[in-house]
Amino acid sequence: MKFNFLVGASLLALGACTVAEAPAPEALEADLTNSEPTSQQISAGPHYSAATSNTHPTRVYWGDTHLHTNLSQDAFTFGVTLGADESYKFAKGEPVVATHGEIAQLQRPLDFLVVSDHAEGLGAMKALLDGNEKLLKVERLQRWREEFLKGTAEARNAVAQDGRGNGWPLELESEEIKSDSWAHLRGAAERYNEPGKFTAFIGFEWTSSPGGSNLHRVVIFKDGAEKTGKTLPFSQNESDKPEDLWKYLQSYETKTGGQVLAIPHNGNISNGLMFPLLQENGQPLGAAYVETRSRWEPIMEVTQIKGDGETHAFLSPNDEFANYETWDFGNFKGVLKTDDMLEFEYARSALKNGLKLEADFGTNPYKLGMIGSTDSHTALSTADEDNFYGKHSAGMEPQKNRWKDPVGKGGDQAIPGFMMAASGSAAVWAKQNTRESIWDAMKRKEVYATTGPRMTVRLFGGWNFQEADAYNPDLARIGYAGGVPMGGDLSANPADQAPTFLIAAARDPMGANLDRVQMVKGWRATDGETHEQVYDVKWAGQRSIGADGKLPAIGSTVDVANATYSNSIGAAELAIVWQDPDFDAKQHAFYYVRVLEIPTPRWTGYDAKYFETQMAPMVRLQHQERAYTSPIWYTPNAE
Amino acid sequence: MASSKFGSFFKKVWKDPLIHFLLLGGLLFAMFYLNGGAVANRDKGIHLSLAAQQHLADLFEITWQRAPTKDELSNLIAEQIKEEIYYREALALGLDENDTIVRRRLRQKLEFMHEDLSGNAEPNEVQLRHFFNTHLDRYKTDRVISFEQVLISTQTVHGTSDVATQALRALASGVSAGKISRSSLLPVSMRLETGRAISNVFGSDFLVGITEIGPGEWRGPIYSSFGSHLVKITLDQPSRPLSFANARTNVTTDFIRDRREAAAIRYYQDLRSQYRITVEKQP
Repeated sequence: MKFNFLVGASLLALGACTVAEAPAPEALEADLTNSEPTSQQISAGPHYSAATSNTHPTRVYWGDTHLHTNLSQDAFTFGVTLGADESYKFAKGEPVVATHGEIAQLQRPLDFLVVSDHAEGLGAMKALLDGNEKLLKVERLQRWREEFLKGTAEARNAVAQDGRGNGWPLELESEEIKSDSWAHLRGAAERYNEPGKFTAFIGFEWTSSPGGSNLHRVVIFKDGAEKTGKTLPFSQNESDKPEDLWKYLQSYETKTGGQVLAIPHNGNISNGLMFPLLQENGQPLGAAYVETRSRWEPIMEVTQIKGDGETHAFLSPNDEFANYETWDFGNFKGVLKTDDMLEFEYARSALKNGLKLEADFGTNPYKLGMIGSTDSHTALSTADEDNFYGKHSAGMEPQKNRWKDPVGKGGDQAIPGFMMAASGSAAVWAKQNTRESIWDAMKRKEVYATTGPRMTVRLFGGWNFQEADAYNPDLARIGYAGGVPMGGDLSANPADQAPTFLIAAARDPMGANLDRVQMVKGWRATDGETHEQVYDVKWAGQRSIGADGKLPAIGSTVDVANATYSNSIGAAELAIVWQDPDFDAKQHAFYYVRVLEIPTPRWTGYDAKYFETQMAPMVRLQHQERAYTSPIWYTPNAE
Repeated sequence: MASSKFGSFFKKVWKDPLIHFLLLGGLLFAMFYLNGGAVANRDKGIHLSLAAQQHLADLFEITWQRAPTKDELSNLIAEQIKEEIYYREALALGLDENDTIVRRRLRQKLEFMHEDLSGNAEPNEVQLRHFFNTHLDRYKTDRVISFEQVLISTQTVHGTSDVATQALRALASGVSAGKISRSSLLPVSMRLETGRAISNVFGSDFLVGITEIGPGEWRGPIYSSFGSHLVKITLDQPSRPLSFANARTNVTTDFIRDRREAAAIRYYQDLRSQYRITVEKQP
């Protein structure tokens, strides 16, 4: 078990060695130590970091865009004691004492982190417990404080549930507290941001939940403390309409000259509201809505602790991998899910409906790249199955019964802890580890999601990739020269031919082998209807596609009782050039890659072993983790 | 703070909410009369300068992203005056005394004020150089390595195997690494990278392997979770001390943070030393 795992690599004692080739020492030092490289520095001459001399991104950076600390009112209510400082230290690989008292440490540090506390009542719940006079005038808040002081997880859960279900008292929206808290968060980001080594983004979460339905967005600024000091986080108490959030983002950019984007998440708790085709009143969305949305929301978070949102088995009945970490109980108020809502909640169907909206309005509002993140409320970003600190600190950090204790409630429905997914990660193809470089990559959608493991995935679309390109060690250069990377557009089809895709995936160097690489295609037929198809394009071992069109399962090496697996099956690397066999040059389409690992123990499996506990038969103890790339979109030539 | 004035009887009564109510009411009246009914500082008047009004407008704008309207501004001003009047009357009644909430807020405010005061002054050159010289271990470059690599097999092969000896021979005769590698995603070279960056791509076993061989010709195999590699280290630059000029930005940040922390401790200890503190032990 690795609940306290030391970082092997970074702690290696490195001895003295001979120098075979010596770069000019001062130039070398300057690049290592200047904290804020200016554009002038970046463009001048050959660079110390080879990566900065490349014309394309050569490195994938790993991070979490969605993490809550003790300044989020629900996280605080759940009992978390850690703040932004601990979040950053932990993300950078330092050991930190978690709320429950366990010493926690990441096996591998993150490259970047967004502390995204809820804008609603930012810092106020902490102020309430500290005895803020104004807050204590509110009878409901007094009661909450009394609940807090009981100190039990149950009491804290009840407060959180009351807040989520019945709304948070408006008095928590104290300008004074919010402004202090925002200053604290910005200050912490500046202290831990180390260009070239670790990126600390300034951000927050807009937590709109009309009727309990989740319309949440994480807002990420490209800028530092100065520009972001000219605004305060926008809360749903100012407006729960996305259109007003976008106005706020516009006003920030106009006022400061800065840049900002928003990432929607948990469509699965939106009860059909996250990716709509029509307004709630049944009217068309309108050109203004689709254009503004596409302006501010380039990517979506598709996998996190509260479930995986790539697709749902109801929407993709022919996809045997569709039913993965699915949360489809309803919304936060317990309004139950009905099948007709699903289409407007999941990534794949949103990508398809985007093609429909593009036909109506000329703009596709759901031209979205994909990332994963945790949405942890423990101040600890953990997405590893064997080092999972849970959704929040009210009993969901590692402890024997967390699998059966409720992680939350939707109305009267208790959701047991085993439903939590130890997911996910945001992978970003960028030239260097800075706010500018990583933010720009998100904006251009050159990003992908994983459910936690760090697989390397490349996807390029072009007109003329050759079979041998997939085996060329110079694959990336060929990909950029001959096509567009994930998140890009294919148009100007030279001869109405099918596009070629250069695809390569490598396993997590410290994780499990790969089972298969799949291409997921969605398209709009000439009659306006949309369709989807999943192709197995490359796989490990000697398997062939059966009569049913399916590749047989790879099998499993998981030893459930001991929570181990072996890499005796699967492949370390899978690469291929693939051409769409069903291509129709007149159909708008998107293509994204899904990579599946071989089966490995799920976090519940590690927990069962570590805590020596027997879980109910319904609890899955192994699974196949995966990566989803941002799509490449194909647009037909104009008639 | 501990007190033994109350007997156990009093303790029981003290917990009764009705007694709370009567006591509080009584206290208010008592204070009112003891203070002569009205000693609030009314003589000085209340003056709201243009700057103070602008401050109210600014606060409004931070929240709402627009200037207040005329009506809104006069409401803000009226509220501010009301707050000042109530504040003075409350002080006159002694409501600030012995109130846990007020005490805690005042403590926080003093802490913040002190933090601001002690942290704001820019350190001078002498202070920074002294700090740098006494904390040299903090200001070093990372060890960095440049290397080329080829994946010769996805299996674990021995150095004497055909595949390893043939690949070594080919590389020695000048065949490029890119022609031999069996991986299309692993970079054939990395330049001046830290151990962390290398292990993020190749894993920690590989890093351990290459940190042991040193610069020179093609060596190997080195093993990773991808298989067997041949590696040629072209540079291995140990961690080195930074010059003061290059460390200056970090030195300044560290200096201010350390000074602030030290000052907070000193400040509290200084205050504490002026109090005689006794804490009654449990019997």
